[in-house]
This record gives sequence, structure tokens and C-alpha cells, in this order.
Amino acid sequence: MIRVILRRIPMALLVALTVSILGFALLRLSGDLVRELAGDTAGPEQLAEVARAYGLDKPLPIQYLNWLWDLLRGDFGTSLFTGEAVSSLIATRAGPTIILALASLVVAVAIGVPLGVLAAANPNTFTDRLIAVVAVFGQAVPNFWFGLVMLVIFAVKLKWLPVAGDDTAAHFVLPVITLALSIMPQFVRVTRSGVLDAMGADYIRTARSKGIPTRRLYMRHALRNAILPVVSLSAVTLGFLLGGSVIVESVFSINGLGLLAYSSILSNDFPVVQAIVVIVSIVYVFLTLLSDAVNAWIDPRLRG
Amino acid sequence: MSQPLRMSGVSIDLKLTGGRVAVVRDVDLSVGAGEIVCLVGESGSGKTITALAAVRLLPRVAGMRSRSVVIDGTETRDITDKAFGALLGDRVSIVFQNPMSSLNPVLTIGEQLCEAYLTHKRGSRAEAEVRAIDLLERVGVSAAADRMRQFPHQLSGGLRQRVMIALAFMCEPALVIGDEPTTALDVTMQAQTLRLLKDLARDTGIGLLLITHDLGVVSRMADRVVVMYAGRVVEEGTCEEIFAHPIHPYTRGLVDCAPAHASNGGFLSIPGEVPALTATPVGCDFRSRCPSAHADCHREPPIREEGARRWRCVMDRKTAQAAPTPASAALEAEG
Repeated sequence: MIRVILRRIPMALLVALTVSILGFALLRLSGDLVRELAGDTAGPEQLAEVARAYGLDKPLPIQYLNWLWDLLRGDFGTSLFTGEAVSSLIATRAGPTIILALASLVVAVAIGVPLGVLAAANPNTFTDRLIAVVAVFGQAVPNFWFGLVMLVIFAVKLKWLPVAGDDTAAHFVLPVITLALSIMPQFVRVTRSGVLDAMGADYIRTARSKGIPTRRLYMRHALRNAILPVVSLSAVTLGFLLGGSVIVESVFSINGLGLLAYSSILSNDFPVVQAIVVIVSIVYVFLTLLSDAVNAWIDPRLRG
Repeated sequence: MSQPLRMSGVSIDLKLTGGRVAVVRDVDLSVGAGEIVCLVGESGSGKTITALAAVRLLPRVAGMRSRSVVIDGTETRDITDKAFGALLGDRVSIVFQNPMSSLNPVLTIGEQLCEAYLTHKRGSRAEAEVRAIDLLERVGVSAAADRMRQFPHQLSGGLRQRVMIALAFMCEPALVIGDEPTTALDVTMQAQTLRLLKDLARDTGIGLLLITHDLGVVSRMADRVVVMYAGRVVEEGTCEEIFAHPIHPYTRGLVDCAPAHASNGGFLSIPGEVPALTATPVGCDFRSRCPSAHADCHREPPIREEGARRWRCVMDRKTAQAAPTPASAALEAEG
């Protein structure tokens, strides 16, 4: 397993580097930063001064290397609007998003995988169809609508849960349910098809011919083979969730990364946007590495 | 010691889109303790599905009826799947055709062997491991203790089939079914593996039911031979009798087609093909390919018995053996 990780690290670094270049370049191409910073009324001297102050007068490769060098020392620059260090800004906003992401993933896996196994164990029966309906509902229903309906019922009418904010665990219940519902269907589907495939395999027939009880057949023999794509899906989904969900965060007024990224884009706060892009990409790369390692731990054939 | 297997009146049909198709009709089959029985027939004759029915591993689309299926003294016809699970792997086990895909890729050899043992026997993991290593050594797996920690993909096909055989013997069953266990192996491994299976069966005194289409295998292994054609048993008898004095025209054709008998260096075959399953003709299923077929063959043929010898044909022994064989008929037609 360690060998798998070591072998993939150079590639992962290369991907991270590429993404940092792309992220940097896209932002520089998206508009005239100097003009944005200096304002519409600025004259040529002011523009030159602003460019010099932010290092924007230097050639792009130099700008990139300066930025990368700062980044490697943990310096993401300062927000153009609050003047706060970007690193501390992201640190405070990342907390709620991380909680939301992890909790939603755990809930989605904890419900989606058993449902997938159940559906695969009873293919084309009423149970299977019912689970398919739940999955389609989860995927089809818009986040903001479902979130608002939940808010109205459980927070406004029944007053069981708080309406907005991210101070206590109770604040996270509704957003986690909303987000989990939208990602769960994929887990149901991937698990169902994986288990169905595995159950048709020769080694399951062998296990059956040894009198191994059905439950054990599913949990130990089939699921262990079917779980590999679920692990990969979890990694990708977690990466996606850690980028922050603008919609869910705004419906439930959670001060997370999604809202930060959204507002920073609107206000052209490019150091913040750049930092988020790079951090989220690196998290993605790391998660992919982790899922490869976990899969190698589960399936000996991937250890090579 | 009770008989490892006795099944009678077994019929199986498959639910297909076109309706039900009878693939096995009224088959009786038994295997005695210490006996090696070969179930022979060409593809589609129903031999594999008959054996799978004995251990309830039929595909979902198959339905089975029987008068009786007794495994090691237990009548299993009416017991639940759960109760049957207690016999499966314990009193009866099966070695499948393809060793490359029949072991679970994510579990070690040791885990799979021990699991089979611990599912049925009270005992510790350590005891199971001792038994597993002992069996692996008996089936000729070198460095057995190290193999226990390996995964299937680290073993060759021949080794994996040895593991499958060890797996089948873990709980000291009364009956082992081999479903063409050597078909997927290369020729050099085939002979070794068969030898091994035969020795192990003889040593342990189990009944071995071997499903094969290879008459070379049959002549080396069998005590008794059961020949199936189009879902029915057409002839059964001891190995010597079947090879030396086959009675049923189909058996005679088969024996003549075996390479050892084709002394002129050519390949013989039985012209024609097995009737389509959907056709289910009344009367003898073999009549369309039988050189001796006549009007009587349109009626259900009687089952004739002479001691342990049974065959399903309108002809008695003398008439049948004097008739031309389907294989030689083919030669004359071409010659």
C-alpha cells in the first residue's frame, strides 16, 4: 500500500503543479486586474502604481513564480477587500464546510450503500423499484427547494431545529440531510451495480457451494469486491463537497468556503479565489491518492 | 455408511422468454461410497444442470421437480434452503470448471479454506489452518503455509484448481462433485489433477461424481458411467462394460468417436445434432441420428435392465449391439 502511494506521488505533484498554473492563468485571463483594483476613474499613473504595488507589472511567469513561492511558505496573500490574510480567512471559513462535507458524505454512504446492497439482493422487485424511486427523487429534486421545504417544516413550523447559522450541531442537521440526499443516489447506483456484478461471479457460486450464509455472502464476499468504485466515488464526492456548496450554504446561512468563493468571485478578490482554487485542487489530488491507497488495501491485485 | 447421493425422478425446466423448456427429464442418479461415477454427455445434454440441481445451485430461471434427493442419508427434497445450506460444503461439495474465476480475488487462500471449515465445524481458526495446510500438502501444493497468505492472482491455474480441490475436501464431505474440473487446465495439468482427485477420493472413501464430455477422462477415472442425451439418461453401467460392450446406439457412437478407437487416424463423429430443447419429440430423442431407427422409436422407449446395466432403447442387448453404430454409419456415408 505504501508502495502504491509512493509510486503515485510524483504524478500527484505534477497534477497539483499543472492545476496551480491553470488556476493562476485563468484568473489573469479573466479580466484586467489592475483596472479592477485601481477603479474606473484611475489615470495612467495610478494604474502603473497599482500594478507595481501588486507586482502586476512583471511578466506573467515571474508573477506566477512569486505567487508559487509565497504559497509554498503558506502565504496566500491578503484579501483585497478586507485586508485580512487569505490563509486565516480560509481557515475560519473552511471549518463549517469541512463539517458539512464530512457529515453529508458519511450520511450518504451510510444510507446509500446498504440501500444499494438491498436493491441488488432483490433485483427487479418492488424493493428494488422503491429504492430506485428514492434515488431518482434525490437526484432530481433541486437542493435549494428541498432545503427550503425542510426549513419551513422543521425550523419554522415545528421549531425543532434552528433556522440559520452554523454555531451548533443542530444547525447542521438540515443542511447535512439536504446535501446527503443529493449525493446519495450515486452511491445507491454504484453499489447496486457493483454488488449485482459480484453476485454473478464464479467465486460467489463457490462460496455459496460451501454453504456460506447469504448475509455473509453479500457482506464479505460480494461487497468487498463491489466496494472499490464506491471508494473512488467517495473521494471524488468529498473533493466536490469540500469545495463548498454555494446553494446549500446560502439557503442555511452557513459561512463556508462556497459562499466565500462566490462572494470573492463577484468582488474580484483574486488572491482569495486563487487560494481556494489551488487548495481545493490539492485536496482533490490528495483524496484521489488516498482512494487509490484504500483500494489497494482492499484489493490485492491493485498492489502490483 | 450411507449412500452419498441418490436422486430420482429429477426434472428441470428453464423459464425462458418463449416459455418453459424441459432440459432434464426424469433422471435417476446415484453415487455410492467410495465410488467414482462419471456423468457423460455432449454440451446441452443436461449433465451439469443435473449435478447443480443436486446441490441446489441452479440458476434463478431454473425450476426443479423430483421424487427424492438424498444426500448422505438426508432426504433434502422438502427441506428449506437454510437447512440445505448446512449440508452444502459440509456433506457435499463441488469443484467447478474454471479455477481462474472460482476463487474470491480479495481474500487469501487461507481465509477461503478456513471459512469453508469454520462455517460447518466447531473449532478454532488455528485448527482450520492446520487442516487447510495439511490438505494443501496432500493435493501437492508446495510451501503450503506460505500459499495460505497468498491471493488467488498470485497462483497459476493448476495451483488454483488444487486449492479448489482442497477447498472441496475441507469438511470431509461424503460426496464431491467435479464439474469438468480439468477442462480449463492445460493437458499436462489435466492428468495430474485427475490422478490427485482419484487418489483423494479413494483415500477418503467419498463418492465422486465427475461431469465430463471427455471419454479419455472417463476411462481413466470411472467405476460406473452414466450417459446422458438430450436431458435423459440413455445408458448406465460399469466403466468396463460401457467401453467394451456399449448397448445404446448413442453410447456406441460416443465410444467409437473417442480418439483411441478411431484407429484409422481420422476423426469420427455422429452425424446430425441434438434435437432443439423446444422440440421435445415424443419417443426416443436419438432417433433422428440413429441408423437403426424405425417406426417403434416414435413411442417412448422402455428402460431395460440387466443387473447394474440399464439402457433406454426399444432394442434389446443383442439387437442393439448387432446394429450399425452411428459413427461407422457416418464413415460409410462419406466413404
